[in-house]
Amino acid sequence: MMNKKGESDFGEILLDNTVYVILLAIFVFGIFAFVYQLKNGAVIWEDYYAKEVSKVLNFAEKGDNIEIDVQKASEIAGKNRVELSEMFSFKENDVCVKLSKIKKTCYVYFNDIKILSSKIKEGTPVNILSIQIGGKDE
Amino acid sequence: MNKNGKLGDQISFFYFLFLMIIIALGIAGGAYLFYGGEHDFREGESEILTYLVEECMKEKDVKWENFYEECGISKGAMEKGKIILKICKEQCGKEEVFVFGSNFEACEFKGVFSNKNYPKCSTRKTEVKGITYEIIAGSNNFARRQNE
Repeated sequence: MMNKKGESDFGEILLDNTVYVILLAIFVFGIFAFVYQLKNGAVIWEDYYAKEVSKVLNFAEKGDNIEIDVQKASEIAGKNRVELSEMFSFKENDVCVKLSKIKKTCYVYFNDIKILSSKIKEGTPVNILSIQIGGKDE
Repeated sequence: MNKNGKLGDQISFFYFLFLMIIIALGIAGGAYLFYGGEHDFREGESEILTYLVEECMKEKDVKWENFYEECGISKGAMEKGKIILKICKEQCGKEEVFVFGSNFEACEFKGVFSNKNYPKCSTRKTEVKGITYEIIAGSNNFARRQNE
């Protein structure tokens, strides 16, 4: 006579543990995503550069051409496989810095200016962020 | 069906959940201790704002109803960055000529300097055309993490 009790027990065990496995997978993914964005200190340096650039932009006037040494940021972005052109972005009084794949860090500046252009000049010995400032009416 | 020990199984789920929370908090806490919190730039930002407002008042004959355009300050950015600004004749508490935001009392509380939730403020007194003005600016602007 076939003992089917073992099969139903096995099915129950499997079902019970599936919940734990799914929870564990979500947990591991969440921890991995959290730790990944800390890789190479990307979050810290994003915060630093966002605030330093906003400080410079708050003092800027129409016609200014600002150049900032971003060699450290470039190195971190390179290690995290972020393109140089994606590192800095400007939109509606927000300066955003992206040094890791997952998220970027943004900071508001209150000076009412317009960013006409921004680009990274790859150079020796350091990479430079060059920002052209215009008036709000341009 | 053997239902013996079902209660024990259900209790072990909460133990599993508790363990995961403890591990997650441990990893987050360790990362915070190693890297530290974010760089607090709010007081510096308040000082920059009071300086720029002072320069604007000295260089131009500011009409307070057009303050933003004349001094080149974005009202939207100040709202977004939770920045407050008040300009008074002689001393604040007497005659206010320009106010943006509220909760300026928080700038005077000594006990809240270590509390991150209160704005960090800067005060500056300046003289323009023989009139003394007091400029108070406060910033509660934090960096924001966001997706693309």
